[in-house]
Amino acid sequence: MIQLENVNKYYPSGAGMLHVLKDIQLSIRQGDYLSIMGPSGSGKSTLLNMLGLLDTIDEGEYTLEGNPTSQLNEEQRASLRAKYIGFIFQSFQLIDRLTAFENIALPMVLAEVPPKDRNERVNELLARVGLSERAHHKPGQLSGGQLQRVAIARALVMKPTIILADEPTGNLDQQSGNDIVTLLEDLNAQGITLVVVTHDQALGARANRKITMVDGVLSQR
Amino acid sequence: MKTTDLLSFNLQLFGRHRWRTSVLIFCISLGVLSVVLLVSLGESARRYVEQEFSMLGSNLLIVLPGKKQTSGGSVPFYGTTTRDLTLADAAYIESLPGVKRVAPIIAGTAQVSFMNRSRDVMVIGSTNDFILARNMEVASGTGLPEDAAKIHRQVAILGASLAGELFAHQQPLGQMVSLDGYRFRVAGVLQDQGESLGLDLGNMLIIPVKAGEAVFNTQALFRLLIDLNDMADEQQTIDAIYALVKERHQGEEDITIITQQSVMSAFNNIMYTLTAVVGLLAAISLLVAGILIMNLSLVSVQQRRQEIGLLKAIGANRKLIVWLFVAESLMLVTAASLIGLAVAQSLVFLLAKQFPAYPIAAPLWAHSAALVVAILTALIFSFLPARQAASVSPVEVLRG
Repeated sequence: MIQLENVNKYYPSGAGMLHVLKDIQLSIRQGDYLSIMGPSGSGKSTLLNMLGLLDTIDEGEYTLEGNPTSQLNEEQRASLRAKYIGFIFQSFQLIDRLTAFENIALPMVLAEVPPKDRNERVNELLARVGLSERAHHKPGQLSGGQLQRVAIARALVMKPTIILADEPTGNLDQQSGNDIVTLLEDLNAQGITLVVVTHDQALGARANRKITMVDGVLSQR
Repeated sequence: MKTTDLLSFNLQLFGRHRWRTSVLIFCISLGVLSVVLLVSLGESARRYVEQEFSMLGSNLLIVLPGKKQTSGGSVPFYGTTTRDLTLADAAYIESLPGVKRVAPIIAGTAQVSFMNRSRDVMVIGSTNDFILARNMEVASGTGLPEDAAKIHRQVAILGASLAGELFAHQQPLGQMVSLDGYRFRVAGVLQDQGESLGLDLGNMLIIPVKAGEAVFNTQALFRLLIDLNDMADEQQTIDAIYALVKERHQGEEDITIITQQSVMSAFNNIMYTLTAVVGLLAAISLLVAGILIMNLSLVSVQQRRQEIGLLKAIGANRKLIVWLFVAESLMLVTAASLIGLAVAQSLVFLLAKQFPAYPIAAPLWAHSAALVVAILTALIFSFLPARQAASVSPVEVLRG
């Protein structure tokens, strides 16, 4: 479902170009649970952004669910992203003026899903992440663990096939982090592909496929 | 994003940024209010002048002594000429076909007194035709004698205010007033008609034109008011008057004839221009509001970079981001415009109540123009920030 072939990425740096991803070859199958680990600046977040079609590749080819993406424009990438990918960020990225319910519903609002279907789906997800009682609370009224649960529910709302999580437990205490990992693993058990970027060795070790990035070079264990 | 969701999304944003929203709404509504109010006042002034002129009747000609070329400048209200316009000229003009009546006018200011009261007033020497041509009415007594253009009779018609001031509770009719050494018997009092075309009809004294020649020691007429028959051809009559005067003035066409229509048209043009100018000046305030929209929107883009990045990450494309920001400005401007229009309409209503003599009203086109200018301002000035928002890279803002 995800295929990267000889992918290279460069960023301008000072007078020259910084080669941040070097000849990446990666294949991810439906239902995989993949962790990407590595030191800061190794290129793992860049790889995640490319997998999420937030960033473009400079060389090579990235095929998502059978769709070659290297020639797609921004609109087409946004459309594929909305269809297949759910994001979970370390800092949750919730809109603070919206309630938990509204934050979760946001991707469906953008996709113009009718309100009835929207409400059913959001209520179902709120129940799934254990936040039905907090549906109308705003982010400022929720704990870190609850915020990440809202973010996970938002990532799931469009029924993506892939969840990309960037340090999903990075801002959480031990207990909340464990709860979130359990929740993500449950999703993976239900067939959703899970790609997690983390510094956390313990979290990384729980994945069934582990990748390490060092200086833009990927190695699989 | 559906329109209802877009409205709801932006309303939540306004609720979050109440201060910024209030400032913008205040500025834009003030701009719209200024445009509508100033245009309404300009338009009301134009209609007032039009109304005043229409009171003169549609078949009126005004003959002024002197020609534009001979007196220089614009229409020679006070132009000079070597040959005066006289009562004899007036009599000849009255005999022309198409002319219904001619009111010769001698005008000046003089002191009128009764017992120990005196006033400086405008004195008009004319005939009853003047009273008819200006649609004035004699409230008590009679008009001027029929032979006012032929015989020096010392009778006077007083304006209503003047009669009140000179005679207080006494009956003015039959009393003798003094006018620059002449004694005039009060033959009538005009109905109180306020001002007309800048002339205070209440503080005016009308005497026979022949008596006016003596009081002001001149035979030169200030002007002639000519009423045409309903069936008369205006241009033919004007040509005939010019020809007649040229023949009587040794080949010199030394008068200027203006029609009611041409005066109205000139005034209309001036008032339209003035209205447009004040409207444009007021529209500048909308321009300033537009710049404010742009600045605050740019600040908003900076503050909402993470939100924009998130929206892009979860499926929003560039068009939607642009539309979100443009719609935000449009919503604000529409709300502010409606408030501005409502306040302007209320003020115009209050002014109209306060000054019933003036036709104060807010024209529909002023409302539409203010609304259109405000919306265009919002579109133009929000586009740059919207484009900037659309170019936000989610990769850069969602790190960490």
